[in-house]
Amino acid sequence: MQYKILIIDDDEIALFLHEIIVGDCGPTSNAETFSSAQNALSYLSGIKDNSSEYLILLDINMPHMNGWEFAEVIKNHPLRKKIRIVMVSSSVEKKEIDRARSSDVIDDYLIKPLREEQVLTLKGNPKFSAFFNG
Amino acid sequence: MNNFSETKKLLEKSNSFYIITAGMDGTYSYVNEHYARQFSYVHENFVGQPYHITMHEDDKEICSEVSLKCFENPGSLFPAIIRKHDGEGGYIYTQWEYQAMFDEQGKPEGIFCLGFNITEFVAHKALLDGAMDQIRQKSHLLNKIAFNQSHLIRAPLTNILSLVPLLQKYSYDKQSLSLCKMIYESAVNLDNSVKSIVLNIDEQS
Repeated sequence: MQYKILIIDDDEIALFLHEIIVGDCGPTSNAETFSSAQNALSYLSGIKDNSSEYLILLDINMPHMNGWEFAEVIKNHPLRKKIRIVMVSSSVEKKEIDRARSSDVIDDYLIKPLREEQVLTLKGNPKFSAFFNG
Repeated sequence: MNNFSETKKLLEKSNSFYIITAGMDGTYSYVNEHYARQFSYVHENFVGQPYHITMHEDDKEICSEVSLKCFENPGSLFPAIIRKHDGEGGYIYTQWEYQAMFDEQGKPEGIFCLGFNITEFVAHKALLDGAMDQIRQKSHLLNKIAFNQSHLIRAPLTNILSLVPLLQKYSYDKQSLSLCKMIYESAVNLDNSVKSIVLNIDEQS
């Protein structure tokens, strides 16, 4: 089984930063970055085998398809059981945090700025630890 | 008829309720004292006058429709809100219950109406509706501000908060490190202010 981390954010700076921060925490393979939710969906649609699991670090506020809409699509995606989603957002609004907590497709909610400690906490969580080197 | 007579007797001197009856010819056959007093500027003696002389022109049709329903459903009460001339060029709002009257042979005899003044209630309701509208608009605006603060202002700010430590990591001279520290502290202060705005809005919602 392979474990891949996908980072989705329309902000190129955030994408660059998150890739570095995740990279510094020892992922089992280099993270893939996507500047839109649609691009990430196309990537997932192209996957024909069941040999990988995916940890998606997902931004909320994006044009065309936002993080919530992407998560809705994942709910019925053929790879649903192979996907874990962690929202990474600048939003500190209670309603968004509560919405993520009550969603059965969102596994965690991290508030930007993404810090190494947050990713290390994910790494220490049995749900996500397989995506990182021991 | 007995029920109507009893109600008329009970409320003949009421200061709150109006009672009127109109015959099949469309004229008043009875008005209680409160109604007579309230609309004395329209006519001194209503009995024999057309039922609609106190009424807003547009509400005559409501009155006719409700009366018709009463005759189609003997024994049932039907509500109506009717505007009446206030004697000063304006209108007062009155709430009514209508019921058809029949004589002992079951022949239609007229309409019995029990009503009261709801002008104050209507005015307060309009004020309340206006206030509720304003609250909704302001709440919408607050949500928009919270969204903008969270997503549009915090997003680039959090980039600065992540970029500065990276810059620090790769800066070796004291002066650059000191400048990085100042930028970071200012960004943290700004971020705390933004978070506090969102938190305050959250608490109000």
